[in-house]
Amino acid sequence: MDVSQYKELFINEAQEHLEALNQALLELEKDPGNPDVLTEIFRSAHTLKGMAATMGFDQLTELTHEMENVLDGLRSGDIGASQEIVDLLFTCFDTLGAIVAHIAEEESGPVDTQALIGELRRICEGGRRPVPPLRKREAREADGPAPPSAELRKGERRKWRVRVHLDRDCVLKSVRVFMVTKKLTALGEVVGSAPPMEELEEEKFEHSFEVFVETASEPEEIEKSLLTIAEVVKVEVRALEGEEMPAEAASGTGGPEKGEGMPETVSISLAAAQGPRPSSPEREEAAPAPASPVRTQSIRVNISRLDNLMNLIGELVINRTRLQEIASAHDIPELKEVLAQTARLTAELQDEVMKTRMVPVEHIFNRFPRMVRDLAKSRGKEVDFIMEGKEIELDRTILEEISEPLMHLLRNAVDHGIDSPEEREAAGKPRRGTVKLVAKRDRNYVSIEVSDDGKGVDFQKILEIALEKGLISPDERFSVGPDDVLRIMALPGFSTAKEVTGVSGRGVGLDVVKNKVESLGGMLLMDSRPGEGTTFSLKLPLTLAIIQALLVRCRGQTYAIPLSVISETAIISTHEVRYVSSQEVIFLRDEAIPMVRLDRLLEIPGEEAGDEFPVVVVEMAARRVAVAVDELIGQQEIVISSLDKMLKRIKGFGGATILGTGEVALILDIPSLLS
Amino acid sequence: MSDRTRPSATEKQLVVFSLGREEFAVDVAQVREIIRMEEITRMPKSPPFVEGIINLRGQIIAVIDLAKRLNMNPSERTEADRIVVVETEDLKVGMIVDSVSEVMSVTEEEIEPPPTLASDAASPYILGVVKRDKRLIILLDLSRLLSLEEISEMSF
Amino acid sequence: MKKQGRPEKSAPTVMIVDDALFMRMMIRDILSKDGFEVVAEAENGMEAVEKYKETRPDIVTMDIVMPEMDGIEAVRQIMKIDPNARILMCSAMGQQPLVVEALEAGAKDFIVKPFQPSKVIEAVEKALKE
Repeated sequence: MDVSQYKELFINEAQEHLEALNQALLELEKDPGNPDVLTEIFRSAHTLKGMAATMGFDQLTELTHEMENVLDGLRSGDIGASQEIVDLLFTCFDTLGAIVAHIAEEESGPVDTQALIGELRRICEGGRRPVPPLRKREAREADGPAPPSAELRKGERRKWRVRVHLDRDCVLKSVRVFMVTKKLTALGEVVGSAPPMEELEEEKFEHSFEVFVETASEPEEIEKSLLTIAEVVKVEVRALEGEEMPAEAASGTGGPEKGEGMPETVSISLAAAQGPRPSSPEREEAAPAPASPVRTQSIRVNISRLDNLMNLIGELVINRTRLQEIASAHDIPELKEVLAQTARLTAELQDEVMKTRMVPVEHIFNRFPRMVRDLAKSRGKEVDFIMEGKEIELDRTILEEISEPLMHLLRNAVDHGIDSPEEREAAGKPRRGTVKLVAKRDRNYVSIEVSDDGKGVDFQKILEIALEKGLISPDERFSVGPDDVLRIMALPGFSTAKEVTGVSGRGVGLDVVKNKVESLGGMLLMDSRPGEGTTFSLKLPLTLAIIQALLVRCRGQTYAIPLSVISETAIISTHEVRYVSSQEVIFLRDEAIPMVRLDRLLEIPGEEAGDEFPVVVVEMAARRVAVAVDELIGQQEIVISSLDKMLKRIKGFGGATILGTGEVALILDIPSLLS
Repeated sequence: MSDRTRPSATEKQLVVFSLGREEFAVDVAQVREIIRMEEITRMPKSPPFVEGIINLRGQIIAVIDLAKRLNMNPSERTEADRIVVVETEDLKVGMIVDSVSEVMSVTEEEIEPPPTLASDAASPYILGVVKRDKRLIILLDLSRLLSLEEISEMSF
Repeated sequence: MKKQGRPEKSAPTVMIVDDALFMRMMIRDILSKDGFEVVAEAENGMEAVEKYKETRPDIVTMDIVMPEMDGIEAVRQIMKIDPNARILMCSAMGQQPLVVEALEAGAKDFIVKPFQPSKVIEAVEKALKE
């Protein structure tokens, strides 16, 4: 069957399970024998396996299958938990992540899993036997209703040879055997089989097998009963004479009373692993163990739907504003009154939609403990990582965008902030450093703080470097405060040289962090005390005024045009431009569309565009207009910042936005530019 | 900072900068920060003295060419150019100046009324002058210089 | 897929129990295409038991490994409520012992992931006939 339509859903859900897996692995590291955690991990791996198999992602299926074997061994105590195994499971997690990423990106090259699978198998074989083979039951009568005693049956009991044909692609054949035996036992007594029951249990048969049964039931009854089992495609019942009974059948198994021949059931209530529990000296202090999340009534909505809704509301707001202008221009009190109501409703609507986009910061926070752990380990630092405020909610676009910046800051905190255990001891501080990631909700914004109790930023050193590099001039020193230090550190040229980062430097990627936060309409602040540590805080708006926009270039500058007004784009050659009463006109699919050049519209002097140039066709109330630009850059989600009072008076701009590069782009309001 | 610059009841602190050959000052209380020149996004259709907009820590502010605003001859851009970010009741604006020289402490008595003979275009925006060591420092009235009424009278 | 022998009355009702939304979607698509009416979905055993009481579906597809309450325990509980409940286990390869345990607990049959629509339908049809 075609499963491609499920791919997106698969990837989303696979990522959720990976996240859960990661969390559980971190827990496991703290408490390697914890049965609950093992169950959790097993469950995640298992679910992934089922999903992957359904989608036909064999690599994923195979790896999760091998993981299950090891996890099963851990749960049963056949395999002792050790740091080595925890590390191996982490590697599995990474590899699973890589495979899922591969699938998401539609990359074809396989991820190498063979070595890892080899490792898993080695551990499995060392500790226990692999996939639980069907074991003999010891006391079948212990549970379940006793099968009706054959002796009680009326009528003449006869022996039948029942041949059962299974579907060719039947898997778990042994369970089918079990079901067949169970059904027959209900009718009479199973007296043997071919091949022998042991071999049937081990699935040592092709697609059919025979069971010998002594019963008073008629052949049709037997057939009918067995055909209710799935994957049983055909049942043949023939009379069996005593002397015909194959020898192996007799030796194979006795009747059900003896309790042989039935697969054993394995309890899934999990005992704690009995293996040694090495207490790792390098334990990580993550947030308290997550309780199983409370499930609330909810539905899943594709994020693009929400984005659409947001865009529609954006347009609604714009139209409302226009209406208000009309109402005041013509002084229509009734209209004004309705508009006041509409204004309230749109504001509420906007608010509600904004809320649907809110997700707890937990979604990205959960990625960090692992990273901090690995980094600290590799740097020989001892770090407690504490997270607070995981339940605080943020617009999901903002959240996704700040994941990378937070990663940068945390990396810097471990790498450059936290001092080595020796340095710390020498400074009279505890050997273990603390890195904190705290989310807090303020009235109008959320602040996320990344702090460390390390050596702090050496302001003097920063200034010296900045002076040396010519990033500041001596006369600037008088105005330098902590904020400026951050500004200097975030200057693109500040930390390119390696030795700088080595000595003082937390400049790594700070410019990127700062630009990103600012492009989201937020602020990056820093507070640092020598010897006591450093805190970076991101002040982020709760929600964003976000729109989809097309970025275009004109005369060396970038502008944004809201996607909602654009009907299409095209490339036009100069010779295609016609003139209708001195107005430039282009033809698109036989439709004449007046064309305006953006540079002229913006009153920017300069030479004409080249022979070929792109046009953006803008949909206006009653007509379409083609706006000629120098270059199309692409579609992007942008955050609207409003212009101040002075600039607002200039017509034609809907605001401005800060691009990911830090560059400021004006948002064009084409209709008002044209009016 | 040295003791000399600590403000007292009758003292004012001024940020002193140069524009062409003249020296100007604004009250330090109105200065938010002083930054280096950076990439300024041109604001089309704006009055000539509006240089454009910049991203100041996530906030978008207008930058004006102070020389043009004062109808002086604009000078060449140099490395020493700075943007003095000031805030008045109405606006937060960056002003391009040629260079920032110092923060000066002056007493109220040192500030003299503007010379009436000053006929240049800057005169309406002058709060007073400070004479010190043969220097003449013009104290600007930012509230007037940046008032929306004043600005909208210009070429919008 | 040919529909054979299903009585011409209202569509048989189904409850789908699986902790993965993805899996539920899959089974739902398979069954609803074949004329079954999915009346409930549950993402763990606990929820399954509750929803069984409410909706009394003709058939239940039950995942085995789930949080809160696993599928086998859910089978036991549902069988207590309704000894005639028809439950199909959804199993993965390598889960023989669990499937057997579920069958002993009262499950009627099982299907194996990766699901083939024809097999799912077959198992459901057969369980309904029984």
